[in-house]
Amino acid sequence: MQKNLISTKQAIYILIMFILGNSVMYTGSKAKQDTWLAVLIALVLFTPMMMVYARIVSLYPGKSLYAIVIDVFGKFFGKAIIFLYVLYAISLGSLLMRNFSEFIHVVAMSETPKIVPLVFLFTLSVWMIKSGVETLGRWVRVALPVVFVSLLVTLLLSIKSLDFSNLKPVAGTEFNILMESAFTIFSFPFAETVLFTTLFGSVKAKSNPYKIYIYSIVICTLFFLAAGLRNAVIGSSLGMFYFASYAAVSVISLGEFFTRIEVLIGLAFLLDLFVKLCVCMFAASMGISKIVNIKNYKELAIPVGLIMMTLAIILFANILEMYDWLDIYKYFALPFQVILPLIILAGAEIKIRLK
Amino acid sequence: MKLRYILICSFLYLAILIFDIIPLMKKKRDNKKSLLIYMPVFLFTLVINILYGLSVKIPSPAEPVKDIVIWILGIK
Repeated sequence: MQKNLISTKQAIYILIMFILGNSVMYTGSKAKQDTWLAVLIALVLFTPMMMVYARIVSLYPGKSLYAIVIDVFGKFFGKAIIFLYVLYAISLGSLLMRNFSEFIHVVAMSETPKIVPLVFLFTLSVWMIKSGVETLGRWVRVALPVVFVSLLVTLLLSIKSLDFSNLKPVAGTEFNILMESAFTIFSFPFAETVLFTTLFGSVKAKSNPYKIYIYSIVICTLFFLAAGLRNAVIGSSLGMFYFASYAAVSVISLGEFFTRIEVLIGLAFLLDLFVKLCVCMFAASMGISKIVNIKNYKELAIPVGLIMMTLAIILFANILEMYDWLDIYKYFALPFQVILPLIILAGAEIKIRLK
Repeated sequence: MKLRYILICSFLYLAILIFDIIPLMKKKRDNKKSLLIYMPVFLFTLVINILYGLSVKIPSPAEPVKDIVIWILGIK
């Protein structure tokens, strides 16, 4: 039976939606008016890591990160590394689920129990995992244009309300705070793309990983820059809002008849978050199946989803705790995003040269 | 609130049992490993969810992770 693979284009689409993910809502950082500067610094910081991720998968075309680590480090150490990535994928997935339920709770359905949106999200994502990566590839071809149109409309309509004086003083933020913001953006969302390398076993072997990463990162950076500028419409009060982009877009109106445009941002957020969650679930299910040698990772979709959903419920008592966690998250994620990929790359390079 | 939460969870877990676990058990090919992972996760998360629904305070795994990160990095 021929294995269904996704094309380069589909991989780029998935990666774009993965990066936009829940970040589409938080394009506001401690750097406030200098968020755009923090995004650029984060891009500079991330470029070498992006090359590391792309190099790892380009050394073994058609193989996923999991297959690569087993090949490089052997079964025992390879599975130990896979286990760490499974933990990371589960923790990120549960964070995304919690994000989703908080968003629904805060902006739309405050009386509805948080478990209800979670159950729907769980069901849809499990369905997607059971359908396979190729279905996600086909689905993003429909979803990404919707996201782009939504974001473009909000950006264009915000031009009228933009007040560029909100961006002043340029580079007025303290250096420490600016670098901390850049590090936050580096870690969340840029370096989270390390999880996407686990899907490269389902990408056509002829695909160029550098092309996939560079295209996606450039497009997302442009979007983050534009969103950073757009969010300047609400000026220095940006930090007051849980969902900065949603708040920024809510002040936009066209005459008196075209209002409540924030729905578009909400739609983009939900679609992006769904794709990101699916990638995390794919990563976790494929990882567990590699560890215990199960041929069909799809059988593990529900257990992985149940762990994520339960963690999403018990991780934080409220939305404030969730935001506090973001300060810790960037340090927590560092070993998975930087240290382990560097070790894997070093091992892979040595192994390739010795062959 | 409590009852509503437990009811929603019960429906979800019942649906999983009927539409996924039972068909998986009926499969003749090697599915023991899958079930070996599936069943403990299924039961464990079910118990946690019911306890949460009954307002029992479940310790968050985020707290020890946070403490470890703070301890390693010495950040405040």
